[in-house]
Amino acid sequence: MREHVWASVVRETGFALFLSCLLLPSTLFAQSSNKPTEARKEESVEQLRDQLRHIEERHQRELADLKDRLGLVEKRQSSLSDELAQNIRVGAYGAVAFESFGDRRTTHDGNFEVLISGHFHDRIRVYTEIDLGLPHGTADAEQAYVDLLLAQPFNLRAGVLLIPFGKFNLDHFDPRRDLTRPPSVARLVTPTTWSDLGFGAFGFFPVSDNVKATYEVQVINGLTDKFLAAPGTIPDPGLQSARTGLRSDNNGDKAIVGRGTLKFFDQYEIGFSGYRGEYKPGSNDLMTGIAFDTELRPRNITILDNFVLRSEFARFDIQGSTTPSSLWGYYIQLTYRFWPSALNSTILGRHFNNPTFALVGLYGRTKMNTAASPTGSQTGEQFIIGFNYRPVEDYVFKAEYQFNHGQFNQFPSDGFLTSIAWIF
Amino acid sequence: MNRPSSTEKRWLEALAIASALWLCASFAHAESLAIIVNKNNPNASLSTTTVAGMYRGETLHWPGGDRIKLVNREISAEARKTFYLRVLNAKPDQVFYRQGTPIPVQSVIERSDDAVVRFVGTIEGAIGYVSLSRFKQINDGLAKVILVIESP
Repeated sequence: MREHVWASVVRETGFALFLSCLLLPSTLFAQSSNKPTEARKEESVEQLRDQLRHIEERHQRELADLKDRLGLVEKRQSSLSDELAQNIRVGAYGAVAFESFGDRRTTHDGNFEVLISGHFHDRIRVYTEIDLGLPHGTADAEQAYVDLLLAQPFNLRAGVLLIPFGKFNLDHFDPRRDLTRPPSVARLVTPTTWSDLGFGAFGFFPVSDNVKATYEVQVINGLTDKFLAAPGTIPDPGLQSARTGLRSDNNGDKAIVGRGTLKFFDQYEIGFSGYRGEYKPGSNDLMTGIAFDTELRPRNITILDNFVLRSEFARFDIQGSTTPSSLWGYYIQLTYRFWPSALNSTILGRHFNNPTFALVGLYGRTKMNTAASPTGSQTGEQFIIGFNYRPVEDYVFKAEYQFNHGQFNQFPSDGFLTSIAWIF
Repeated sequence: MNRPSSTEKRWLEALAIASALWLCASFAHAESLAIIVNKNNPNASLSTTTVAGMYRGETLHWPGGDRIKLVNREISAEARKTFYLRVLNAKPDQVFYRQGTPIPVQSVIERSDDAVVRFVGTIEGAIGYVSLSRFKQINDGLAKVILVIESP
């Protein structure tokens, strides 16, 4: 029995020892082997962190490098596009009109003009405006000149020049005007669009902070005698046919024309123009002209902010002619621009930044003293009311009604005109 | 004397708050403008009239002879409204044309103060306008202020 107990004790002790042998080393080894593993892990983490830092630094360097390169490309691109935009500009403007007058068939009319302007040197610029002659079929240069920009008060211009006689001739561009047709005085007295071959000078003087002066003087071939009635023919009314058509001078005598302006507070502009030149071949008879124009854009007076008042008077006296001996006329035009904000969400305003409506009223009067009339003169009177819609500055829809009276008028009867004009 | 009723009091309070808000809004809009040029521009200062002449197309060259490159903001920008009103005495949508042509005076349109500063800092001969406070924040030394249009 004792032996059995001893055997049992020995067996259990042996089993316990066996278990201890099994467990203790693993516990001891486990402690001693875990320490180096953690150290390795920490080292690995540190290495990974280092690598990550290196990668980040490399990426930062590459990013900075890329940014520099991109900046350089942007600068170059910007400079290049700026240079291109400053140096060359090709555009065009056009207009299509529908006319319905009581004395004639309704018709569509229009014009299309190509514009090219540019600087081929900081001080030399060119400008060309070619009327493609649509729909009448004769292309003509309305302007084609080169400017030598010497100083603000004195610059030279040569080529096919737009004549500085009255403001309307200088601002004859359809998309910029508020009415479809020029007023009668700018058609019959001043033969708009009036251009001629020659050279001249122009400049700008700041008289004071609030007063500025400009001038433009040209020596040109000048008006001709083609407006005079040949025996048995009825001439075109006014001076339209007196223009040279850019042909050589008919009498060898050069005409002088010029315009000076004064502008006050950048709001009120007045202009004075003069013309003098012989017009017949083999004769010293003179044609002289004067014009006076104003453009008032009142600012800082809320109620007048949206009004523009334009007016122009022009007169020509013709020596050695009785048919006509003189012509004169004037117009006054009032434009009111507005835009009801309620239309911003409609189709008229939704897609555009700055749409405007304009109401336009024009009164004009013209007179021609001529022996061809039993009364010694012919007169004309016009009153126009019009409406404009400009979704953007460079596109305009115009509609107007003209009341015309008298014989010396651009249109002899009342009529409705509508047109669309654009520029790009 | 009758004491104001609670409704009247509320109306007065609302009016006072509205007035305060309106005043704040007015001051918020009236921010000073900085007329900026490239840092290499030899001009130290310009008058308002001179800057107006540039934007109206009357002055084409810097006194040194380089061509002026105008930078503008879009019509709806507050800076443009202030600039046109205070410097050009014009509405922000007014277009200035080269005499005798239908071509507007050319300017580069940028759509943020940052872009204006970047352009002026890059292109010598450029001139632009930005909010003075914004310019102080973003100027990297490539552009300089040549005229400050103070808030009224």
